[in-house]
Amino acid sequence: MKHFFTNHHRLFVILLAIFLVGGLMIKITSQSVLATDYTISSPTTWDNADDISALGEIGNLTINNGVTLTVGGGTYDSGGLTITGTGTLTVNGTITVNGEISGSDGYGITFNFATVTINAGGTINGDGKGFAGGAVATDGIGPGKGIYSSSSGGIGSGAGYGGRGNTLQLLAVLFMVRA
Amino acid sequence: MGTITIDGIVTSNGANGSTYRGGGGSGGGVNIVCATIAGGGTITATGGTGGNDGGSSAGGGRISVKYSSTNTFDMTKATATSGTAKYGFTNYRTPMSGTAIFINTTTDDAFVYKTFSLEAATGTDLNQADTSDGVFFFHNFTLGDGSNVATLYPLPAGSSPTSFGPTLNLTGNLMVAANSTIAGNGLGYNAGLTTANGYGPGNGVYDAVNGAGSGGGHGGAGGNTAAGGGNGGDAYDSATNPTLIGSGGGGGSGGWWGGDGGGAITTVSAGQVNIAGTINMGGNNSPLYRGGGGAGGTVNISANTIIGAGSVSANGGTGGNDGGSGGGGGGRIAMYYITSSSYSGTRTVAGGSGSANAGATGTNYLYAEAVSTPVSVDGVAVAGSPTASGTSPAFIVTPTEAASNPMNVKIQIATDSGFTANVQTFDQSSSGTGWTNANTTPYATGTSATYTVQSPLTAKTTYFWRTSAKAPAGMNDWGDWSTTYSFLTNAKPQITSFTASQDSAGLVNISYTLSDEDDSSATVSFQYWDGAQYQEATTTTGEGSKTSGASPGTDQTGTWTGKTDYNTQYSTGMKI
Repeated sequence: MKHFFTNHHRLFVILLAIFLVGGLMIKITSQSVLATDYTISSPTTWDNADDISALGEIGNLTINNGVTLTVGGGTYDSGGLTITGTGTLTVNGTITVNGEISGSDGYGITFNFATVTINAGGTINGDGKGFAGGAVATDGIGPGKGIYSSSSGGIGSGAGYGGRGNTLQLLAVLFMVRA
Repeated sequence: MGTITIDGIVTSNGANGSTYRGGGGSGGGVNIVCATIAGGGTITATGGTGGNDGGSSAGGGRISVKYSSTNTFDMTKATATSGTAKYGFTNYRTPMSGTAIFINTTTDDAFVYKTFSLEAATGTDLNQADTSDGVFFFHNFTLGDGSNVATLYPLPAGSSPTSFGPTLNLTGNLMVAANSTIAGNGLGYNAGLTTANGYGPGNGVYDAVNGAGSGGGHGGAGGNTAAGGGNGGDAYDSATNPTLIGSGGGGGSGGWWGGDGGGAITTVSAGQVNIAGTINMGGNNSPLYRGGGGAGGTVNISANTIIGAGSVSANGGTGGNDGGSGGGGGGRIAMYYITSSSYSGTRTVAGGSGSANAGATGTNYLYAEAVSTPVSVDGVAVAGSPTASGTSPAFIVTPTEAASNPMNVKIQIATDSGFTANVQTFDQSSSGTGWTNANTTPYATGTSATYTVQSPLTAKTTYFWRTSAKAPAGMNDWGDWSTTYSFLTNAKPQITSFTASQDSAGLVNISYTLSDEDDSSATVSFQYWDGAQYQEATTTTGEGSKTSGASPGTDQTGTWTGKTDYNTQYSTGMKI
């Protein structure tokens, strides 16, 4: 895992107060905000939940122009991976998302930020990163997999997902952008 | 939730198949949830294209954008197309496009500007939670904007003989914009492959004598193959409220197959259905030789108003050339409006031609829907809290029909809201007894119709009731049931034989008869006028005394003697 931070900003606020009003205690419990801004300025991979967890609380996340951040596709994470930030996800470069796949189970990547901005030239790309296609003379993988047909000259048909297909080669990854 | 701005690219495409024979991978998924969606970028989930030499291409993926506030994103830039169609040796289907939809979660308005599928095996409620009854609830549903091609696919569910299409249930309007299509052609039961029968309750068959397939049936029967061969599929489904998909044609010999049946779509709109584009639930043609045509499917629309000049069709598919094939039977169209219709497009349910015999024409209706509106029970308006009534209540309803055809009316009661327990139906088209017109003659539109229950209901019981109407000169089928209301059989006590007199000493003598239809006792109270307002009478001397006050019982006569200082006001100055 590689991290390249050009802005490491921390806020640490603790509020703790106790007031006594006519014998009634009003307690305001402590609140802490600890967020780190990340700027990706060279190729970086966060490929499993441990990588994401090691980032701590994320504030803003910026992918610089010409740089790729690769997310997922390492150790299988049941339910997929979620990257949550309290600030803005800004994509000037590329985020490549890999499906979290184990056998016939597959999950996507979720970005959960207050604001998401994918600027011109920026890309979030999951092309061909879903369930694997069948190897030679085998079926594909996934709930809409395509079938190898030995009786018809060794033809594989197209996969189905949103639309009806017939055999799976590759299923692109599912991912979510949430703001 | 915040703002998502996409000026760049969000892409989740399937990969292409390998150079030779490999199938393409399907498009992936993009799921966006936000308050505001903006930008001029692109979102794609395209299926991969199959390899050369027969590899089949893949279906498109899924794009869902749910926003709670503002959408300024160019919705035509979200695409989930399939891979480029290629011909496969055993597979005659082309891959379908995926789904791309924008939903305003605050207003429940949905927008499809490219492609979307309503899958009858699923569904959504108005909270956008998943269901499985095939009904999709929205406020407004907009298909296209008139300047681009948008397509909505109704995918069926269930199993033969009752496979059905999805239902759009809208509290607002449906717009099928110009250049856009609800495309259920070929989305019915499968056709038979070569030398095999088709599928569905009206399936076409393979006729080994002629080596040809007969047509599938639905609204009309499928065409037979040549003499001595196989019969076309039979007709089935309701003509006035169809919901089922069309049956597939029989396969032919020599590797040729029949045509798939047409799909089905049902739309219920509380507002307006605007058909500026196309609705096509046709059966597929046999691809070239000897197969039978698929039967047309279903278009079922019920709306407050219907407008537009686009076409609506559920035609049967044509049978293949040579071999004596049969064409598919026409499907079923049933379109109903409540307030008005200026729809001027074409509606066709033609049978498909065959090299031997054509399929029969299907059924085709466009009518005003008769509506019966509940007004009151025993004189108490239905709006508001549950109505109390006697055990032989009188129901008042008002039937209306936009085309001004006279209507028969029926009222149904039961002791449960699902109308399964102690159900009674009072059908004026069968008997006029108890109805104000005392016969089965239809009521003019807008006429108040009253039915009085002839055999007393059970006392102290909550009943549910609803009403419906039909216009024999119009659609001649019962319209939808009205809103259900309830009432409690708890009759009001009645005071009759009321007399009052005052003697020279100022004593007022009141005599009355108390009766109650469904109680053996009741409490009587007395009030007197004190010059400014009514006051409850008590036994206090000078204000009145009850000689036989409370609970005189059913049909009992009681008396009460009071004294008032207001000697000239006894007839209006006292009440019970």
